[in-house]
Amino acid sequence: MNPTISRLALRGLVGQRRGLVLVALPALLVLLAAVVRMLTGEPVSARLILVEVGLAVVVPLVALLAANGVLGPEIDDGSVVYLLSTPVSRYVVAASKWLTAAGVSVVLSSGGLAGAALAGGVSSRWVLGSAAAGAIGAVLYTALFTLMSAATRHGMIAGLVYALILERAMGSLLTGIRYVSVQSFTQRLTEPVADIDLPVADLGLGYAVVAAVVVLVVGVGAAGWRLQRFQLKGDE
Amino acid sequence: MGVIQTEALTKRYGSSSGVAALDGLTIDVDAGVTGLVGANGAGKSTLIKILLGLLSPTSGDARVLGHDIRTEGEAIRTAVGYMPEHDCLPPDMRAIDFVVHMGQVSGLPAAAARERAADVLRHVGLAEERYRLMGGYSTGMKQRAKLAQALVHDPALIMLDEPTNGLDPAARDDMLALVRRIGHDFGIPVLVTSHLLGELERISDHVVVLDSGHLLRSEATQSFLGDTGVVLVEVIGDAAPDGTPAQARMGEALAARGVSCRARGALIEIDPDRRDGIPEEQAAAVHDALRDLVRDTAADLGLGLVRVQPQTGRLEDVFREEAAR
Amino acid sequence: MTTEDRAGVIHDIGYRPYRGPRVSRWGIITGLLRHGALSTFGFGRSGKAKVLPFALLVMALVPAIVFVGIISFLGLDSELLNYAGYQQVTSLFVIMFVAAQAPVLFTRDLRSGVISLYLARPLGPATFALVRWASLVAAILAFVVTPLVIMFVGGLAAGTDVGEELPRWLVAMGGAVLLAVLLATVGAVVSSLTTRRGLAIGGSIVVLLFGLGVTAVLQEVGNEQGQETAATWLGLLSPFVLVDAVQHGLGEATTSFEAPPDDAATAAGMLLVALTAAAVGLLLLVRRYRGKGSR
Repeated sequence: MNPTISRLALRGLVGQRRGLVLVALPALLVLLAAVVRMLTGEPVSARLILVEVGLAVVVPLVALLAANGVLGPEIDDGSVVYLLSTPVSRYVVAASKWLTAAGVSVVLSSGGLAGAALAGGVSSRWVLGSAAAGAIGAVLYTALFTLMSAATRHGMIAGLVYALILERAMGSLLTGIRYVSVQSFTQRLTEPVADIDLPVADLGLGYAVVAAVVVLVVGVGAAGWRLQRFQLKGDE
Repeated sequence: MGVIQTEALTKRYGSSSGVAALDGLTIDVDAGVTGLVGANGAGKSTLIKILLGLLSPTSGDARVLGHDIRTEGEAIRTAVGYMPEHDCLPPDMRAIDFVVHMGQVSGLPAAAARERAADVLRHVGLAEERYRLMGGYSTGMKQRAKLAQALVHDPALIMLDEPTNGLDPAARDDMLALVRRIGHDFGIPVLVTSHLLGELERISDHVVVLDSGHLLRSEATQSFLGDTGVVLVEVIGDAAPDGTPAQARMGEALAARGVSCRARGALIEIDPDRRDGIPEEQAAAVHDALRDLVRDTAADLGLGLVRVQPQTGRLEDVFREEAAR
Repeated sequence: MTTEDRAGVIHDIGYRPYRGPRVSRWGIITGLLRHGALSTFGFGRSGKAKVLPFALLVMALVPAIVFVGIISFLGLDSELLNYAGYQQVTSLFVIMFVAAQAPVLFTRDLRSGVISLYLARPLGPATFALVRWASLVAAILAFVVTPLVIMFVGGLAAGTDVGEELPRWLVAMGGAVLLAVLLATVGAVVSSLTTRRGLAIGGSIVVLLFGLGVTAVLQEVGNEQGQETAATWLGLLSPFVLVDAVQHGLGEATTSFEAPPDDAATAAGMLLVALTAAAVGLLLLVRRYRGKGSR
């Protein structure tokens, strides 16, 4: 890990507009929970607010914006060439960038989900569960999306296609998708942590653990591999 | 009728006492190549943007090709070609597609746009490269592509903002030659800006000099570069027994004979007395008398005369004069 | 060294001035509009750029084809042809198209700096911005109108009654146009605010997708709590819900959401607010483009 790279990536991430959008997502989630709680006067439906909106929408989007933000603009600009011409190993570069994206995502997702849980007045098991789910989801999603950002100029679109079309749209039709869906892994892994029941279809815990590790290692590792083979082209 | 006329054109940012990008500028630009010179921040780009209607002036008037800039902006932009200073080429488009598209947005019918685009790209020297994506172009090629899009719709006036920026000397020469060709052979009036005085001297017929938004000078280039009357003298020879170098000996001797001169590096600069009131016939005699005097002085001292050179003016001098004031 | 030795030599073939006809302002506008709409589908760039938009378009048309197929071959009730409710079925694909392709018309120009060239041409900043917006509207219309046409025509071919279908279909077509206008405005404003394509895409997704989800949740809750009016007006937060509300309130179409307006007045009021918001959005867009010229 190269702390300088991570620090610089952080500075780029929290600047101005991207930072605003990043923070807006969990903030709006907390607001949503609070408003619903206020309207109904009783604890919100954890499943609705925390899982269907929070975990399934906010967490992947935050991770996507973060992962795309630490690598995408540099590659787009061409200024990534300055980074790649330093003697730092490309794998270290990828890992350092991922660390920043993951760190920011964990803080925002975990905090946002837990905050929403608190604002929604749900049980403490759910507060713990949301925080855990947010953190696990952030780590896994950023690994996957960092790879996509390094692999293609259309990293943002690729991530959206994965999260929205593959996981959500197709996932609701084809149950087999759960074996390749980071959403499923996250939910399955969170269940034992906080002893809560999540709407994830049948998935072995062992499988989820292994799959999560694979996503993490392959995600960051392949990102480094892609950076190693990176060629600066002027066109799309 | 002039091509561009401005009258007390002013552009101030902020309050009325704010920074003035242009201050009471009154100029008259005719056909041919007109150079707009000034340091960075002197107001060159601001002037062009105001003339195109992209920026509205604080006060003053201006007309381009007879159209008022405030009310007939569209007519101006239809007839003017603009080559900006900054990057403005989409990297994932081919040059030919790009220039065709720009031609169509300027009002050319599709077939005419295709024909003229190919023509213009050939004129600027991008004939073979026109099917390549512009992201892979060198700086020189990008400048040419920018120039091509400014020419494609056969404008009645073309405005080039620092066309030689980032070019190596050979490419710079090519670009300057092309600009001159556009102004003289193609018959399109050109307004070209630069902060490099030397190159504008070479290609412009008329020079407008700006400094911090003010007009310093606006004259035909020839009048800048004409004979200023100053004569440069260089001698070579032995130093005096007391150690005075040859040049100093010459200078002292000339001063003793009533010639006002001063040292300039290794040369002696002779500034002849004011010749304003001297009639033509006598001016030539005075000119010759001065040279005879220099020759005789050198001979008397036993020094070799290397150079007696009339100094031609340079644009730099305009700035120096202003700074000295 | 002569100039002929170097590559990229400048040829002196002779410059030919152009004395032919020039296209009128309106002609330039239509040409630019068409060019813009085509570029959102990837034309004018490499082949890869066409994959996503066309894939999304196909996925948006599939349900319509399926419905027509069911009616034709299984002869089920023509109620299946829910024109007004179709947009909710394909909302995800339409949102993705707007988010992914709006930057093509706005962010890309700002990023490459070519905007300076456009603004130095006859059209001028306001017209240019609006034509770009119109191109996006046209592109989105392909998404929202085509399936409706397929269903209508297919339904007629399968024997549905024109008299019955036509009014329902017309209401839905009106709603589709309104939807295209609103979505295009959101996409245009968001993508003109940044020069980073990824951020523009993300921003549009946040506003449209998140907005849709949040609105649905809030409406459901509001309804449960008896706050029906508030729930109805919440529909302003998402173009999809709003269009559904207007279709229901003014056109008596079936609704796919929880809290549609009960009367035409509310629906008309919501429509007015939405159109005003869109107008404000366009004003912001034009202002942004005016400012770009002076950079």
